[in-house]
Amino acid sequence: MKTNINRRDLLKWITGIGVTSLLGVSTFQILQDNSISDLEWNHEDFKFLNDEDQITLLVLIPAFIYGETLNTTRIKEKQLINVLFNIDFAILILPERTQDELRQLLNILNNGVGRWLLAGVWKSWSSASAQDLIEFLQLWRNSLIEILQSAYQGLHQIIIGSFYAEPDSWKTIHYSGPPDLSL
Amino acid sequence: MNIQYPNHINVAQLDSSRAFDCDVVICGTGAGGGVAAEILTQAGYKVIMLEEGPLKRSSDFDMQEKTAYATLYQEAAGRKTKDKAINILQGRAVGGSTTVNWTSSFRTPQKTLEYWSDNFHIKDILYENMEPWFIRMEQRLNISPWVSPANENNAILARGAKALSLTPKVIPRNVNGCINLGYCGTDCPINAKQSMLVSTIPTALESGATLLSCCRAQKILTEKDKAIGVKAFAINKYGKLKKDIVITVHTAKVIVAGGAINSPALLLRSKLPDPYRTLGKRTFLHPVSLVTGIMSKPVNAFSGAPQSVYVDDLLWCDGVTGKVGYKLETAPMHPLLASTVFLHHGSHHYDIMQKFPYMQASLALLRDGFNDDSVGGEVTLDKYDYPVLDYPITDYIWEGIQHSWLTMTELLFAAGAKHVIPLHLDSSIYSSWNKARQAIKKLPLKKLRAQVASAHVMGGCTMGGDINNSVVDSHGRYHHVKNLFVFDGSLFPTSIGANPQLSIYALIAKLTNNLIQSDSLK
Repeated sequence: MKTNINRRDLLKWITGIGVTSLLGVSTFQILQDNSISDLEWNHEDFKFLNDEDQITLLVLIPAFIYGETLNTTRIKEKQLINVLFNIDFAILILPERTQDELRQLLNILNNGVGRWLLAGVWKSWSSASAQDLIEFLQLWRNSLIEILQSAYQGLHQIIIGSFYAEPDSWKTIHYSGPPDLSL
Repeated sequence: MNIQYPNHINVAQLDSSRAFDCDVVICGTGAGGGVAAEILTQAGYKVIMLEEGPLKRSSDFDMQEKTAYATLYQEAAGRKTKDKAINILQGRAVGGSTTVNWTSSFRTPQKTLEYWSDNFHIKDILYENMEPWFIRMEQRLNISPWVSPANENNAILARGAKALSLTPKVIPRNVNGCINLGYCGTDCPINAKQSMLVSTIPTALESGATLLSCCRAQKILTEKDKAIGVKAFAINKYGKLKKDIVITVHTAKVIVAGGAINSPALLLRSKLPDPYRTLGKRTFLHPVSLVTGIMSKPVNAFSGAPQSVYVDDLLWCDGVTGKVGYKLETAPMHPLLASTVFLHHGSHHYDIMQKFPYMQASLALLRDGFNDDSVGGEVTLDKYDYPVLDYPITDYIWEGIQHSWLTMTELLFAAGAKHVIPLHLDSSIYSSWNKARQAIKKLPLKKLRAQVASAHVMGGCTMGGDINNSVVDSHGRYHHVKNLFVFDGSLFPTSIGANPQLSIYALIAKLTNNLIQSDSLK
């Protein structure tokens, strides 16, 4: 399926419609086939995450945070971009050894063969249904292979932590933020 | 109140290399370095402090986890052991971990000091030797038992403990003018916490010491068998070395005070003599197990003094060298940290987070290092010359972790929890003590399944009287290099059995005084 879609539309899709509705539509491939110059956020502002990493994470963030409940909760575009920036910044602070490991992990996730071998997702991230994504996360979480367990935990810490770091995320958990000391 | 930091240089902003001369260079400004800097400066020594973290003051502090973890913690609060099984919270800022700790201030237990004296032959380390130094540092840092009522998170621990016939006690805190905000872990925005950042360091600077921040000590310079200086690099905002900006300090004495992990790493990078291969070994963590309770009324565990109640009944219950004992305390719950400890995803994680205001968090801090089955971990260097800690969790520790899950779960149900969740990837959300007890006994005692954390890194430069099982002597002097001292928590031959800051303050005050006295005799 070929459509003229840019990353702006993809973002709208993920945030507005939900991962479930992406079933059967290979947005990742569409992105690869089309120009990625028309961006709502400046991808060059990212220092660690490359274009492919950003797409992978854009799909994984809602899966981690909301999973199948995404349709009812709706994630805001701004939130999603903030989370991406938080992830990028957090990785930059990590020691080089850990950065190397994350580079390897993201490369595997971005690569079709690696994804098929390790995640059981054979097409592309954006063609995966919410259920596929949940199953992939569950597979890694409970894997007998230690490196996959720790990869799950690493992604968990960096994605979920980057989401709940943002004041936008606090309403849903009934937290009003730190006290105002300016009074 | 604005605190002044005269004689401070942010090395990240320098555009060329610099050299300095002094009497003593101190690498690190945490609990050890801060205390040593104040005492030495006031005794007339010309002191230079090197700190890899930034100088952040109360006006910079916004109580946001996002800012704090990125700027004030090692590895964005995500430092881990080699196998990634233990998450380590450790400070990286002027003031070290004292800038971000939760203010609990305990004297070193008498039993710990006796163990060190008997097994490591450290001189003058018994309680009667240490007591004057505890008193001195308690006065200096305004340490006293917390007088305000405990917040609900801590009150639940106290209620549950009483229901189990245990004895909850009040935690002494190093605060002055604390208004119970609850954000000690992200910073203290009102300078109430008497960390090194607001106490000893500004005093040392006013008395003429110099502070170089964003400056990582990379190598100790030696000539024959003597330390003569330190080579350091500027580091950028991402914590990476800027190798074009070199700081060289020429000095008569070098004090290493980077904290456990970083102190042994600096000594390892310096390739100093270590004939008995003791350097970096015996690194202890107080491995922490966690259990959360979902209460029927809001707990708001982010608000109020983070730790004000502790329970020690189980700390020594099988004797000093028997089964591993543990101290019970609470953990404050802030959104980022809370969200990352529940290792679920999707709707399951989302549903747990909905209970955020109702969460109580209990922790057990295990006393590692007092048994042959608990010899701790080892710090080595990776290919980037950056430290990595290999800490295998032994069966001895696992047994204690399982015991602590059971105790905390029973305690939380006794305190009225509706649901209890031990932090283990295979645990469920339990709704009764009976069901939970059966299930917890079956939880696999395996790394990366059980969640283990640490906020207290100790050891790696063991202090002792025997050259073949220690790194420094009873005065903190490196065995094999003259004029080189280690003054921080990496000296401890075992863990403490309590939050370690006051143990570090008191021991380093004592050792610094020894150093001054021995100089005056020359």
